[in-house]
Amino acid sequence: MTEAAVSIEDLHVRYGRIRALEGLDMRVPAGGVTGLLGRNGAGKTTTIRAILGLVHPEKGEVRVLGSPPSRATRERISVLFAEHGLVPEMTLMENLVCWGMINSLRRAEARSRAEAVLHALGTLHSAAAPVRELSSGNMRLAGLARAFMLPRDLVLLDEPTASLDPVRAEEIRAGIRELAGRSAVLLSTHNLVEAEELCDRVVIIHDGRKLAGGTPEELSEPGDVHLVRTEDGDASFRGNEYTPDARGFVRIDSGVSAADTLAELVREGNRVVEFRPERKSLSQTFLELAEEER
Amino acid sequence: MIAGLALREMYHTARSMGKAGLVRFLLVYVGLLGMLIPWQMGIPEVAIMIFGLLPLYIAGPAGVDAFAGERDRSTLETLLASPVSPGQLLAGKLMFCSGFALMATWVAMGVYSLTSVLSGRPLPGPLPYVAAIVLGVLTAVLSGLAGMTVSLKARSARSSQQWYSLVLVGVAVGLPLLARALLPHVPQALKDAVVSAFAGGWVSLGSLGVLAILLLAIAALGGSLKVRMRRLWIMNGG
Repeated sequence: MTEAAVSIEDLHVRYGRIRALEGLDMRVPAGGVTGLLGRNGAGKTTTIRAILGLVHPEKGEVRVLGSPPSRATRERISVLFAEHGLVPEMTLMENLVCWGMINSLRRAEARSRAEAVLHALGTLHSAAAPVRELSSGNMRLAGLARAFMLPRDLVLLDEPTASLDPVRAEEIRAGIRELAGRSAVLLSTHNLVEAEELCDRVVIIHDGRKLAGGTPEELSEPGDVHLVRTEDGDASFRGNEYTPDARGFVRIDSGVSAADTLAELVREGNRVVEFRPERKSLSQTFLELAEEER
Repeated sequence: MIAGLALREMYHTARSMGKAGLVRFLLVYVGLLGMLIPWQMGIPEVAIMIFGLLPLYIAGPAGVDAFAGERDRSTLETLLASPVSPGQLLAGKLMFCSGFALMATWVAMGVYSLTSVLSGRPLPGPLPYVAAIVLGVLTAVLSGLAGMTVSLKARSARSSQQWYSLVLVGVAVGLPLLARALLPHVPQALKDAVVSAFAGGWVSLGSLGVLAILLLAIAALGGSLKVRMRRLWIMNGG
């Protein structure tokens, strides 16, 4: 097994009396995109801070790129928090040049990297504008430009596509996919559709603990709900008549396996054309898990 | 890294002040403090020492924004997530606030000297100039550190400015009052010793003592600030 980019074991972190993480276990593989899902206050930001070594754990262990979090590991990490992290009064270019220099680049190199990343994100026209004058979407892009301008082994992104229009959001998702070929990406998001589309693995956390983890497919395993299409359109099941949806499918919540459900449908005289278990979306899985925990 | 931090502070200050703010700043520090007040002092050797103390009023206020301002702008966490060390962060921010104060002071000193020559007023000799420059560097660093120390603890830039103003008033008013209260109780022998220590003028045991005291204060304040700055990286307070 290759070494994980991030490995967290039994991590407990608290802010005074508030317990933010309570025995969190999770792993971010060395490549690809790992989604970190959870409701507000679930512990996502604290997890990112723990990876950066910005919180003192009460108990547990964090290893980042093979070592405990430190200044040396921060040299290999890029992060975009919920805030863009840029000085609002300064222009976007000034911000990026200074950020490059803070990260050990020479001024000329920082400027050329900044120009390249702004060009790639299609925001070169905003380079001379003060950050505070940018639209919220362009501010998010500016934050992403800062996070993407330096090559890093691990990239931590908190809601990267928030405030972006759908076209920009899709461009950024494509950028993240490309980035995941070179770096490990940890994506904290509320956007479950985005997580399903973008993430190779997903970790769902709630109240500082991991509720579930796996690939989006694993987390959306079929349950006891099945979709059936009959020759007549309608379907009868256990004495009830069901009408099809717009796609022609009848949704049957049988509470038993697919084989038993199909056998029952056939016994009741339905002429089944198509039958398949309904796969839950990641959103459904997430909402069910969150509901169970309430 | 340090140059990047200092450049970031410089851009931020320049952009925050704007052109109008920069003109106001030049009028006050270069015009009023750089010419009018030194001229009013009469004695050139005393007037030049204004430029040894002027950085107190620039470096300190610039330093109070160092961390509290980052908190206000929500940029502190991103900065802490970068590979900078506490020492580099301290050096970068101090380089800007001291450098900015010294630049303004030395420009004011140049204007004072030029206008004195043009108007036929007497200028002090080279030693008072050297003393004012050395004192200026020390007060710039010391007040920058003092401002940053206040900023480290303050929750916002406004509260940081208020606390620094209180510290400044305390030093400016409290110290003379304390000296006045204590002076009658100081033994005459000690008073005589202090006076004789400064008998050599600009280069004397007394002036070297002042230099040593300022250097010690800088070392103590800088060391303590660097240690306390490490706590910034522990956002849950350890």
